[in-house]
Amino acid sequence: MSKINIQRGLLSLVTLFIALAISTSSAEIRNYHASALYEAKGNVKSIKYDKNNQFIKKKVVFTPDGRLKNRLMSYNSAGLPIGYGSNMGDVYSYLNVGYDKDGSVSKIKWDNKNKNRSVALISPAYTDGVLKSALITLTVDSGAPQNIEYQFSDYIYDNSGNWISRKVTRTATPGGSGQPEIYTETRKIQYY
Amino acid sequence: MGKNVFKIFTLAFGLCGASSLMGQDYNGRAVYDLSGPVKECQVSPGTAFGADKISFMPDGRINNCTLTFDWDGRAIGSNLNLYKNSRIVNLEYDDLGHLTHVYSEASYGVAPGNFEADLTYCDNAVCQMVIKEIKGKAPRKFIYSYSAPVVDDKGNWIERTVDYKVMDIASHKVLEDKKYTEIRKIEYYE
Repeated sequence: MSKINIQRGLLSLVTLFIALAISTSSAEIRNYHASALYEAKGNVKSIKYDKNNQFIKKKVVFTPDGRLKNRLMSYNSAGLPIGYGSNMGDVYSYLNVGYDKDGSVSKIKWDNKNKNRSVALISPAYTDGVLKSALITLTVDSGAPQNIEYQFSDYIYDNSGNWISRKVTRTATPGGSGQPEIYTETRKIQYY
Repeated sequence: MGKNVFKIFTLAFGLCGASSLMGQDYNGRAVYDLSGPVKECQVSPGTAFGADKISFMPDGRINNCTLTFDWDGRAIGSNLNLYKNSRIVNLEYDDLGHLTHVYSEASYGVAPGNFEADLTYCDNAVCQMVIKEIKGKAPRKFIYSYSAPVVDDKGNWIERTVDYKVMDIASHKVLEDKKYTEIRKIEYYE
């Protein structure tokens, strides 16, 4: 697993955690709110991203009650996803998601081992309930931690208030060029 | 079922395996009534915990297991939604960190997927475990009462007497009643 792939994957981990502040609006309808990890609210049936990566399938599907379909995930009493643990001996993956009192994702810890062990700590930042940036500290094996910062802007939303396009500015230090990488991230959302 | 409780727990935790996450410790051993740097535990055949063995990472995570740990390193359960099958496991603890309640709900079968287990502790070790089936036409209750524990130098029991009783929950009829000795071999990290 290359560091670049890990970094790309982490971007999607960023997409994994954001929309919690808005997720509570659908609490009366669904028992679970797994889509919150994907920055989506409402009766989401599926989300298809324009890019693929190792952490998030290009398409994620949700059950009618709001759980991730065909996935392992634990939920808290509010139905919010709080992590998972999958251990097959030498290969494992653990995820922890923490929340603020207002239901926004406050931190994520991801511990994964395949050929290499990668530990990522993710800290999101919001402005008026909208994810504006996320700082990822990534450590691969015994290497020096790398900081990767994502900034999000120019959001475009669908009729349900979920983003379907946004501008991403990614800066990695050390190990990166030092120059920000800028691109547009898009996704398609289907609803029940 | 009496022989398969260990298996049941193992199944309940999914496909019940190791590393240190930023130096954090996990309480996977407590789930199996173990403490200290246990590497592997094997319970003798024909006992409450069956013939299975369980192994742990040095930091306390359970090998070959789908179990979620919270931010404090405490195993809290599992929620697997796999195609048309669903399995939910919740674990609860007392203030001392003892596992006191296991809830397992599965969309498939009656046992071992759907049950509740209540564990009572005496002198820091489980002295009773009651498992109730929560689905099925005639749900049963499995009562394991433990006594006369022999402990190793780490304080983990390696032998104990088990009073085992199976009852029909509705009629209270005793379906099985026996006593046996349960033994386990524990290997530790150095």
